[in-house]
Amino acid sequence: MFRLCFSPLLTAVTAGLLSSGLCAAETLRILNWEEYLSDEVIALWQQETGVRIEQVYFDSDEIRDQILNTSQKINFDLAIMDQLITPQFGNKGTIVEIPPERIPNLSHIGDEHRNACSRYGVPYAWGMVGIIYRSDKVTRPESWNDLLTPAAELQGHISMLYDYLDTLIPPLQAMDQDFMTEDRETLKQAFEILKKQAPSLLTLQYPISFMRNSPQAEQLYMGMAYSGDQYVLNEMSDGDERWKFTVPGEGGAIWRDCLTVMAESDNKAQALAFIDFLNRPHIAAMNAESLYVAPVNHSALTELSSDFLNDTEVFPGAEVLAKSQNYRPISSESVTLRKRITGAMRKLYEAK
Amino acid sequence: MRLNKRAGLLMLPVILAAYITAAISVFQLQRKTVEKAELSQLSHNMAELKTIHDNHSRFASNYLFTLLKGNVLKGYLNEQNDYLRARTLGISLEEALYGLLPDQSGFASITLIQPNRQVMFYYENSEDPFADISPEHKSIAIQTLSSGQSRNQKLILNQDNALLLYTLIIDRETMLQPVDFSAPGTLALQMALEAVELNSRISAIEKRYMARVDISASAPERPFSHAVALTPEITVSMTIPKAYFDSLLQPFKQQLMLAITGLSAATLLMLSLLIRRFITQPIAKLDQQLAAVMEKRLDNIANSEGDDEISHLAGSFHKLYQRLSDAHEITRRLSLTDSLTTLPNRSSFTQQLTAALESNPQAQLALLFIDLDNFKFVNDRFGHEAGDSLLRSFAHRTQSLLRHRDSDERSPDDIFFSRLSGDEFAILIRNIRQPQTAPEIARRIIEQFDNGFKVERIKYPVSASIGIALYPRDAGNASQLISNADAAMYQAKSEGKNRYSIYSEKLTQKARQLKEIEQQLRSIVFDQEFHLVFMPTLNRDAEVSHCEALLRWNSPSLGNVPPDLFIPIAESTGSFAHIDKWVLNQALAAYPSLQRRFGEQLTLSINLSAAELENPQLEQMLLDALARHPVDSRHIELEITETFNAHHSSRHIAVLNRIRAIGFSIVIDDFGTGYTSMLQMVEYPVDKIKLDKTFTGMLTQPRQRKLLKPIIDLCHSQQICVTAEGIETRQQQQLLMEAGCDYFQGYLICKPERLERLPQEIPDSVVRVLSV
Repeated sequence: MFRLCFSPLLTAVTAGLLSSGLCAAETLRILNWEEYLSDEVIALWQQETGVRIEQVYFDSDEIRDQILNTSQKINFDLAIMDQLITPQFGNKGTIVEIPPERIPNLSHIGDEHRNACSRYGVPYAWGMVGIIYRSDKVTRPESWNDLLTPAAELQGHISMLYDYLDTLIPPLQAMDQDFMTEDRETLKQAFEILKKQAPSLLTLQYPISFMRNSPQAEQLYMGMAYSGDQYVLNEMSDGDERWKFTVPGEGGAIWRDCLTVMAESDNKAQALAFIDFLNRPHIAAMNAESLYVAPVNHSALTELSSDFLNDTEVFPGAEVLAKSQNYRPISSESVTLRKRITGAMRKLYEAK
Repeated sequence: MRLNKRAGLLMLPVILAAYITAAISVFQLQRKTVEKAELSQLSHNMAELKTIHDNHSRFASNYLFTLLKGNVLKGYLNEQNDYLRARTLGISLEEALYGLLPDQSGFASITLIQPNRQVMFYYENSEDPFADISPEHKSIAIQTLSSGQSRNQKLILNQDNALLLYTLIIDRETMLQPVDFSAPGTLALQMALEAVELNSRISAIEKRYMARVDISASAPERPFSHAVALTPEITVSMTIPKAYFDSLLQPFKQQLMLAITGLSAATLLMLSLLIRRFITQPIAKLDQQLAAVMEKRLDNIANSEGDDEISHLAGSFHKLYQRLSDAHEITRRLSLTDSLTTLPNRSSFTQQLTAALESNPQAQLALLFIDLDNFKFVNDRFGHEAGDSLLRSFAHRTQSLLRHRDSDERSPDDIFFSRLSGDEFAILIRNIRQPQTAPEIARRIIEQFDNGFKVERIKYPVSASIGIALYPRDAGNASQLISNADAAMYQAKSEGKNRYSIYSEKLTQKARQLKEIEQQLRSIVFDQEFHLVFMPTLNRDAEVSHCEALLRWNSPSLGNVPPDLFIPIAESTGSFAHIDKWVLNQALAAYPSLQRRFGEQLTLSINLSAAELENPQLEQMLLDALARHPVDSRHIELEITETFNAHHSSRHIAVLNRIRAIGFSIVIDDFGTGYTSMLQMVEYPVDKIKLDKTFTGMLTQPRQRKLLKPIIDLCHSQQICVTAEGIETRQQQQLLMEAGCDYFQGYLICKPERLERLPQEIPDSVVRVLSV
């Protein structure tokens, strides 16, 4: 029996392949997170250029990395990547270096974001790693510990992200440690916390995937997530605003996504044009409000509604940001060790 | 112990032994079957281990094959970027391992080792993310690398865990077996896979058989073991321990034991029932019959007709008891029968009497107590044979007499005739209706003795004295009745024998007195209680010519006992001889004193019992007495009471003649009271007769006076002197004088007195009459 968790991905890929086969018109294929590009924006783009946008979704960085790091041709024009893998794929030649002159709207993006995405990626969005929770079931969690050692009533209603980097954020931050640490002993302690948490878990699936696919969806009350996920979840529950996002008191991790152009793309010009389109302040603002994520385009901020701008779920306060930490590259050994830690955690969870 | 119980106790061990033997056989058989089945099961289980191992092995092979042929490993090895390799391909390898492993998989690891011994990649899916490759696995990889073999398959055992370890040597470029093992691109790809299913099967087998599965290079040959070679190098084997079979067979053993117990109990019960029905019950029945027979509820046990031993036993018992019963009946009859007369004996009589009184206390009974008078005399004189013959004859005649009369009036059972002892007989008349029956029977018995009792031409001088007592008039119980009849019989005897006497209270006293006398006589010391008195006799000249020695008994308990009371008793008991001897000697001793008082010519009269005539020692006794006392026998008269029987006269005459020859005179005492005829008397060799006191009185009556002189004359004519006794009046004395009587004795003349009190002279008044 094979335990491949790619099903949503495969479905999306199949749909893409079919549509590409059916339509001979010019098309941009984007490997993207689900609900991570505004349909409104896509429509505007198509209206303007006649180029169709086709998306294939992934629901974890690992899966995306595996999809991309293959010798086989995969036929994507664009891909959304995290800030850490972007330069690596760039160095490998999987993605191409972005020529700044081809993206005039790059000027609207701040250097803190542009540096993070290196020269191979254009910043797309940023946000926090935190906790989503059902406001109708749970009071706002104050600490990662509310997630790591959940109260009795939350046993079996908790989800964690399954990611060699992100999974370790809650225990390490709860321990007041650098979540990118490579210290084995620290990681061991963090693993002990995860081991204790494992029996309380409902799932290790990405909450959006879980909510979409699991018959137990209603059992999820609280989970580790990325900011913006709450918006998607609320959309899924017919606009009911029950899902909330919060960054625990210990602080969160600041993530940044980069938009990259695949080296194998036959349509690099259109891909770059699409990136530039997305960075028009008006479009960026529209996309951000639609996705409920913070834009990297500082010019777009002026275009945003004041409600949106004041939403701390989208724009965490300076205090939170001060406590939060950025991702940074770690050694391949540490990657392997962290992978083994999450693997062991998954084993513990499944043994439950 | 009862037979049933004993049979049970005897059978139980046998039954148990039989069933236990059978059970052991069954058990052994079952054990063999179980062993066979279990061995077969074991071989199946072991074969299963082989299959599971092969599955594991196949899985590992497939997995490695997939890795080698797929892009993941290739991509990983070709990825130059360490970070990407780790983040993407490394994760893919892990995911591949994770994804391909079966459910509930145990430990699994993938290792890539370079020839420089450096671990290029190690991933294990354990719950310990910090664990390193096991040095053992690593050394196997390195060893394989240097050995030049392209692959190595091992089953590694760590405690209870079997681990499949596959090591492949590949060229990192071609992903194939390297052409040159020493080329720099050579790698060891090692996969460790915990043989979870194998382990669980092994532990299941171990749990089942309670023994270890042995995993080694070769399998030992042992009974109850089975081995399977998982790989050419590794053999698993299992030896079923005895305890396993024991535990398997335990329920069977228990069932068997239960069955034995049940069957034994059932068999025992059935056998017991059968034994009871066919063996012990008949025995018990026999026993009950015997008990009934012994308790007289049954005459004899039933004569069984069966053909079995118990019926034979019953038959034998029947015969035996019949014989015993017959013998007993004879013995009983003998014990109740007097052998001499064949009459019932005393115990029979007592039984009958007791039974009669017990069966009907209101019955009217009469008891006749018969004692033959003078029977001792017959025995002494004629010998015991004659006595026995007399007793037989008496019994026989009386029996026929009673039977004869029985047929007239009543049923024979009503009269029970028995011999009590010696010359004592008893007749019990039950249910007496007429008061005269008993006396009548008594009379008819006595009639048989008229003129003596003749047996075989000899007439014996015996008679019968009979005492009659009636129940309930005279006695309240059997012993009293006997005793009273006995007393009445004594009365009859004392009244002169040959008669019957009916019991009365007065009689009883008298009889008791007689009995007392008889008892006293047996133990008396003569010198202390007897003494003599002397009674002078006058001759026609009024001189004291004779002095009669008379015996007086002054008993401390009975007082003065008159001689006419105790002398007959002494005669009947035989003690008379001693008394006579004492009297004779005492009188002779007193004679000189009497002589001094009454003159040299005084004759001393001494009474002898009539029975002395039958005493062969008489002469000698007389001679001895004369020898002891210097007395002239011519001065001694021996007085004998006239009780002579004519039939013995010749013998008596001879005795009398011999006594006379010694010099003694013979005097017939108490003449006129007995039944000796005058004629007979005068034939006797006697010197004198003494007229009895009553006879004297009668002859001095006016009517008989004229007989007095002829009687005296008759005596004188035979040279017999006559003494008159009991003279109490002068007239009597005068009449006697006139009739020619020679001597005079009586209270008128002188009372009998002790020697020292005898008067010197006879009173004048008496003398005067004589001299007239």
